[in-house]
Amino acid sequence: MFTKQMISSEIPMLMSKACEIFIQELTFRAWMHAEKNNKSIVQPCDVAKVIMQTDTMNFLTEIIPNNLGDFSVFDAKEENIANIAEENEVSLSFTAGFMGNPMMKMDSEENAGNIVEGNQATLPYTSGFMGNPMNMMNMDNVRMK
Amino acid sequence: MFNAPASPCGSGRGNHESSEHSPRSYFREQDCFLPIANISCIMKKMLPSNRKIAKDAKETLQECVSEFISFVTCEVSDKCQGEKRKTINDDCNRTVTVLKKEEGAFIMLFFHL
Repeated sequence: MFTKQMISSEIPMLMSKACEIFIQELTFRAWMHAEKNNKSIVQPCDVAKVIMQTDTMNFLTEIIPNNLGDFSVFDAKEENIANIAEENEVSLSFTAGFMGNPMMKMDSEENAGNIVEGNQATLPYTSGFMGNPMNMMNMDNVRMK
Repeated sequence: MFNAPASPCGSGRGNHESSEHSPRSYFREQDCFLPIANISCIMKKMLPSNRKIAKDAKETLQECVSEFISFVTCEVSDKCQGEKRKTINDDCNRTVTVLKKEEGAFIMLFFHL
């Protein structure tokens, strides 16, 4: 169907620059999304959410579900995003998600295990929420660790 | 019909450490994806030094960039096909001009090809 087509020698350089800008743009938006949820580590679900929210990145929606289809925490966090009105509300929803379904906690721990550098930073964060969600002081203490 | 190379490679992700050909995939992972170290370096330049990136997020971006290359190449190829041209060249001159003006416009131009 396609006739043979050639590529100018200038195209690879152009594509490499385009890819670099694309990575920077996507990373920045994913980081902004992570910041909104008070997270210090950029997660795949942040990247997936950015892709779903941005119209110009519709061509990426085909590969995201396959990559994150078994990431059940993603659904819980999506509910959190829908509930964003106040920080307390987000905390409560986050805690309820984990307490209601032990498997979600397992997924979160597995994911934390994959982050070698951030392992200690992530688990206390979760524990703090589960232990006493309404105690803002406790959350501040956990965040400072 | 354009066949994105990222799709068959997706099933071969478990083949990451091996340089041998895997029956589960037509392509080796290093043939489908850009080097993850380069992607990681570019990502870190965009974030403050105290921020971390999960390895899964880097792998997700690896797939996204491969899909981006396939998408742009397919769009430009269709455009050249419609104009009966065999070499993808004129678009290069136009986009280089835009690149010199503003990088943001450059990326948006690609998105709206």
